[in-house]
Amino acid sequence: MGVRVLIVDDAIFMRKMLGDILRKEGYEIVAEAENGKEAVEMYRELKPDLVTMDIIMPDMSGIDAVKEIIKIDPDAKIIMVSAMGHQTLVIEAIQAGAKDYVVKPFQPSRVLEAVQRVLKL
Amino acid sequence: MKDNPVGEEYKKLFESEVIAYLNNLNNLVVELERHPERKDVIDEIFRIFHTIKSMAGTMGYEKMSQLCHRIEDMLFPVRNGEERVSQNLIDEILRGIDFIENFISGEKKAFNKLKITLKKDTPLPGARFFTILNNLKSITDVELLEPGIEELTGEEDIFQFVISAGDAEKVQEELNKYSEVEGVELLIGEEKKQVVKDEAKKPRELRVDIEDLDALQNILAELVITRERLKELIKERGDADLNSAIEFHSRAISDLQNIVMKIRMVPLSNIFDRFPRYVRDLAKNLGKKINLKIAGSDIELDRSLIESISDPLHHLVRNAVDHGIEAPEERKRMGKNEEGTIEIKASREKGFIKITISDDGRGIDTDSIKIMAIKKGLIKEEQAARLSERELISFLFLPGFSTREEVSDLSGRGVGLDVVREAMRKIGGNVELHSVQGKGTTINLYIPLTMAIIKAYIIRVENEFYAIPLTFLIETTSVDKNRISFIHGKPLVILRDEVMPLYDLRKILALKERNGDGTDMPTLVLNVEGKRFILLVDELITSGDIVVKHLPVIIRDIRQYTGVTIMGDGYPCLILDVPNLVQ
Repeated sequence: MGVRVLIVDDAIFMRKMLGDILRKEGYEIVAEAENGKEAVEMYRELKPDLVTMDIIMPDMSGIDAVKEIIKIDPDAKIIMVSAMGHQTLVIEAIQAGAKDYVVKPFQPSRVLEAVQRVLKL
Repeated sequence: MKDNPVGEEYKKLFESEVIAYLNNLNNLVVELERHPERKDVIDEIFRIFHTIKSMAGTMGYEKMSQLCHRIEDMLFPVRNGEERVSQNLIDEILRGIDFIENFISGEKKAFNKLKITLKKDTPLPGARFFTILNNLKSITDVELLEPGIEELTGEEDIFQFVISAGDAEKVQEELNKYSEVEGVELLIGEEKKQVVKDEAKKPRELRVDIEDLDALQNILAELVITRERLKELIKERGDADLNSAIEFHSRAISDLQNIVMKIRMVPLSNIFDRFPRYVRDLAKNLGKKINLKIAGSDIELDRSLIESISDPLHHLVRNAVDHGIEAPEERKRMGKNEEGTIEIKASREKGFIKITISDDGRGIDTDSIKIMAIKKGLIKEEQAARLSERELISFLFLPGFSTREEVSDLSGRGVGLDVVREAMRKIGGNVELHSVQGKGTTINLYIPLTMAIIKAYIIRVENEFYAIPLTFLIETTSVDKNRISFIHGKPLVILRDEVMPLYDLRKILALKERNGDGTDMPTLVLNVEGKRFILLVDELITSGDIVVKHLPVIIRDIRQYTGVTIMGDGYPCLILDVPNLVQ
């Protein structure tokens, strides 16, 4: 069975882009969530192998979602997706338990590199 | 990337040599403070600083080298007899020693210094580096040296980072996973200078992995067991030739045993040498005058034991300085010498090492122990009056019991004699305390020479054999049933004017009672933390070397045993945990 990924982003556009990059490499997108709250619920239900998490979203930020997910599963593998200039937020997310991050606008190679790296942890 | 194993080798050598010098220096300075007229001591201090100066210079440690040079300059007029030893000079030298010590321990920490550069197009480089650092932490010891962590989140993008790492190779491996990393540079080679060592000075030593030594010890233990087994078998056959062959074989194994033990041995000076400076600093802080005497530093002990006794010893010495020795005025008032004396002495006894720490201070106030014990509900008032000094002192070994209401910032620290006792127990040692109020306190530690093969007395109860470590044994004797008296239903025996409680090992081990007591019952007189008692057994067998094996997990929690040994006939023999037997 392939690697099951949960994509979390408030923009459909971003979810599709990320999804396409990952699907092309054989990853299975098990679900998409559009805010932190939904992400936490879906994580609990689906137990995906990997999560990509936008930082700034309505209804619970990505960082709070990371904290909640880590509570459910301390080994959760979460990659943050951040805009340029959000260095402090990224560091906060890593401290909260996220394993890596990619910066928007992203190059597919960077995304895949981060995903592969995190899955090996 | 520069790789520099040679520099690393020299650095290690430099460090270990300087550390040895520093220990010596500390002792010399303390000696000089007490006897400023000792010209030989001044010369020795001068010589050592001179040596460190040139070593540091060779390593390229400018600051250290300059510092040594400055101390040399200060010592010069004293050597010529132009100036006297001043307090200022002593303090300067001690500060210098501390500086060098800190420098070396700091160097050790940042042993692998790495500079990591990220590519210029890395988005959010600070966060990227933070992530990398975070992942490295799960692999090896890393610490961010430059820039500060708060700068990572700053406005300005930083692409270069310096870290210290325990395992540079693993860091390199991990960094390969990040395409953002442009390069890694090992900075530690910076200080490399060519050093040519005099061939003749090469120490006659060899570095050995401690695990290999442990393995060797285990194999040896197996040999000892099979030897005993062979001996038994040969004895049964009664073959004289075989017998003399096994005698030779046995001697060879004993020699091997001695050599392995010797390799594992470290002199007590490893701990003792720290005490002159330690006591001096403590005494100075507390405004006390103390003359420290140390003897037996050359006595050796198994490396692992040295580690286990270092903390308890420091604790006891600190106790003696802080609680034992009185302030000079108080001592004067009591007609004592203003200067108190603390003696640390190690001596060899059969099968173990005895370390004595004694002071001529105020001694232990047994009345306050009594009050405390009553307050804590450990004894009733009417019982307290009947307790002997020795029995009262034994309360001090109870966890959390202390006669000092106020915890002084020195000796307090929550660590009491109970911790010392616990540490001794873990290594199969024993502790004993004598104190005379107003006169002083003496504490004896009995430490086995090694933890793997110990001397023990073998006894039998019913069909089982048990071993009792010799550290607890005073003597074996026989007791006449008619001389047992009972107080409050508890059996007691008077032996050479001392009343000692009698315990029956059968009862302790919940075996069925013996039928028919004799007038000649085999017993052992044992000593636990200064309390003596008599243990009744079925038969006294013999004393000898036993190989200590850990207990199987299932019975590890049974308090009565510390381990197990295999006897000559292959039969297991449990080692009794003497302190726990009678509590």
